[in-house]
Amino acid sequence: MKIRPPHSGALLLILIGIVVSFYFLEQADTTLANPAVTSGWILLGSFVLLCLYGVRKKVPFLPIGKTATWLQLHLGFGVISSWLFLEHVDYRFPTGLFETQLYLLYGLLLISGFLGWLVMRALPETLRADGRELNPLRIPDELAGMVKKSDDCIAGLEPGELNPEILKGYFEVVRPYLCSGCGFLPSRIHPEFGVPQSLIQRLQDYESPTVLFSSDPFLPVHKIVREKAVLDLHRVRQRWLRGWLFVHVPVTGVMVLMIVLHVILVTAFKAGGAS
Amino acid sequence: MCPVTGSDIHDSEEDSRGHCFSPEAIPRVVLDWVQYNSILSIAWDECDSRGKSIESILQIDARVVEYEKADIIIRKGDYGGSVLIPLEGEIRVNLEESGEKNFARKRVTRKRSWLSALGQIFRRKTPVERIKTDSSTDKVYSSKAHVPRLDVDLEEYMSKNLTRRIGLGEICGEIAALRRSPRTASIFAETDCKLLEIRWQGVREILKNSKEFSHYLEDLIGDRRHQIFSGMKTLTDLPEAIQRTLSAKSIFERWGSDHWNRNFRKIMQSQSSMIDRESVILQQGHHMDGLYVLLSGFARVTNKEGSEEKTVGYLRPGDVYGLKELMKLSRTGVGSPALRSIRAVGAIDLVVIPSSDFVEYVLPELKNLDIDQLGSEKGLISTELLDFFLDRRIVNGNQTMVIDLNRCTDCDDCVKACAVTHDGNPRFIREGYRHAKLMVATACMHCIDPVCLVGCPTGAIHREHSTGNVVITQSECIGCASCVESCPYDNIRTVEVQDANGEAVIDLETGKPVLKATKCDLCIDQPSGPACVNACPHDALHRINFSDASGVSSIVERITG
Repeated sequence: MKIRPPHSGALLLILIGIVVSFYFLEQADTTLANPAVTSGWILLGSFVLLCLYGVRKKVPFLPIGKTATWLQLHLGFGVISSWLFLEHVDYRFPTGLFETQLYLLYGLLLISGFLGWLVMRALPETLRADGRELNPLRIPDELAGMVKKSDDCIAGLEPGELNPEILKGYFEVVRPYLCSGCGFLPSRIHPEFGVPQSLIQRLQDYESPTVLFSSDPFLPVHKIVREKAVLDLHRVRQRWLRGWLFVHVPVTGVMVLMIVLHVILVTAFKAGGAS
Repeated sequence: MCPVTGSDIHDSEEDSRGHCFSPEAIPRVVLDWVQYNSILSIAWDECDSRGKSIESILQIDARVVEYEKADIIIRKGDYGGSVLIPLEGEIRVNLEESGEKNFARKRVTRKRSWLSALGQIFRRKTPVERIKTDSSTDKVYSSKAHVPRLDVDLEEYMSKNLTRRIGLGEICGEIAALRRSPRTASIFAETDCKLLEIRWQGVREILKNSKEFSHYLEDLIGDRRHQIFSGMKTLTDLPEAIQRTLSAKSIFERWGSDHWNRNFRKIMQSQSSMIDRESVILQQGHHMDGLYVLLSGFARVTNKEGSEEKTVGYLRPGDVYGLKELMKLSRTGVGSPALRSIRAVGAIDLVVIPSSDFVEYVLPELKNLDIDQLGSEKGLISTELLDFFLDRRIVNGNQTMVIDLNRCTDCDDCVKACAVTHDGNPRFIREGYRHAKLMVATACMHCIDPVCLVGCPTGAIHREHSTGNVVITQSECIGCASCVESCPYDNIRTVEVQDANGEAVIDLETGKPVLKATKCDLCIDQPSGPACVNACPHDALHRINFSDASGVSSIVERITG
């Protein structure tokens, strides 16, 4: 699996962002201001910028730069914000429930974002390489077609052409496999037969896979099972391509609420302390 | 549909002119004047005898337009699908390149404001494309043209620049209108004037019914064809005298069929070799008789490797072939055989400037930079990719949507962006021809030779004057699907028209839903331009202009690595 290297512009942005933030933190240090407050405000600013990417995606008709450029900014600020977060918490472990929740959410956000970046750079190429590229909406039809084709193959056999154990294996293992979903992790594929290892293990109760897959009447079904295995792998990749967003986006929403609450609490305590 | 005769039009309801060029009928006095004083007089009787009166054609396909002194009537380089006949006043054509700067466009197409663009997010989405049926917002028709004006002292301008008056009743604008090519010269109003503007559908009707007019127009184009040189990138600077000499000495040729698009889909399905189907214009190794200048259509440049013809490049309108061979001739005095073969892809018009005339007239006028540009072969694209682009006629595109499959994550942000800017209905399909890591999506390519225009009976589908983009005027579309049939790339669709309540509008005569053609409009009214390109977060979607060789190579190189 090849991963496209990060954009040089994003790397430069990260560098500039860190230098500028470092300057402000040093300034705060020399003026004896509370460094947590300074880093907090900078962190909040970077978080607002990170959220703006989602807003930009909703208005593709405005001439405010390409979304691709905004994504690079988003990635750059994502990395900067992780360093700012550590600065903000002074590189220590969380104490208390609220802080632990913030740590966990932030960690989840960062990890899901990083995973998203990885899969978006690595998976498109492999998606096209398997030659089975399909619009996700068409996959159910494709699967239904496979099951029908496979059933037709079995129905077309002469009586006694297939061993009854094989037939039993077909109806109890192979057919349910053809109708099943793909899960979230890719199946391990048997190098010799090109079908999932788990399927072979289950088939062993009925017939030796070597005998089964070398049986002439079963060859068309074997071909369909192999196709399903490739399609499943493809679907898993498609799920990964979108799946990380199901974590990243909701966590962002919760994080926004937590940050607002955090700012209110800090401001309230500060005001209370001053009085 | 429009009434057939002019007299019928006067009697009919005003809204029956909906698909005519003008909502106002041409006055009788104008028709009488045109019949006896204009160039159309030669076709008048012939058309009448064939049962297709010019009067009826003009009532549907012509309008009277008024211009004020110094108005720019036609701007060189713009696209236009009509011819003009002066009825009153004086108009002049600019013949000097140096004067063209005064005609430069100062204002681009009006775009939405940011506020109006933002309003699109909150607009109600409709299940199918909704096109307004309410015409109350249409502008009130006025024959007075609102066009930019020459910002110069007209008398001084005319004394300093070479111009020529176009007499009353003469015809102008025919080259661009009939060839679907850019205007070859600028025309301005010398005094307040009135012109009869006939759209090309009408000119085609007259040509069909009058041989005499057809011969006249052929001769006229022949006489004015020197102007085609001024429409070309690198031959623009040639003085008019040289252009005239060259046009007299050059050989104009036409190859292939005008209707290449009709059987294109069948040919594509047959999967036979495209190269074998193409006519050979110039054979590699044969005597090089001159500089080949492409006027319209496309040509494939091939190199023989063993027994196989390999595509090494392509030519688009304005491109030339043969410079290397002719440069050798000019340096050594010995002619070189053709280094490559040229084949006609579809229908093409070309002009061959004989070798001796090229060396005598053109070469001294060319700068070194021009020679380098003219001599270079298109980009550094692999033979397989060139074949892919040429076999599927993708080189026709000025705004071809190409997707880098290695970057595309199937997020459909491009489709969503298109939907947001078009009332919830995307105007393209993110599927199409594929070659390795590259996909040409099913989106209007805004072709250099837009064959979709050819059959449109109302002229609803047309080229935008300033940009050459192919757009559809919804109020003029009658949903005949002629453009859908003509588009060889399946990039145009018809959709049902809905009224304000979201109900399908039904044709009372047929009982079927009223249809309109729709396609990508390049987000012509959006502040950002094409929303699809802006929306792609991975920079996977590109719009390619195949005239821009370096642009094509850089994008292709990026995609194919």
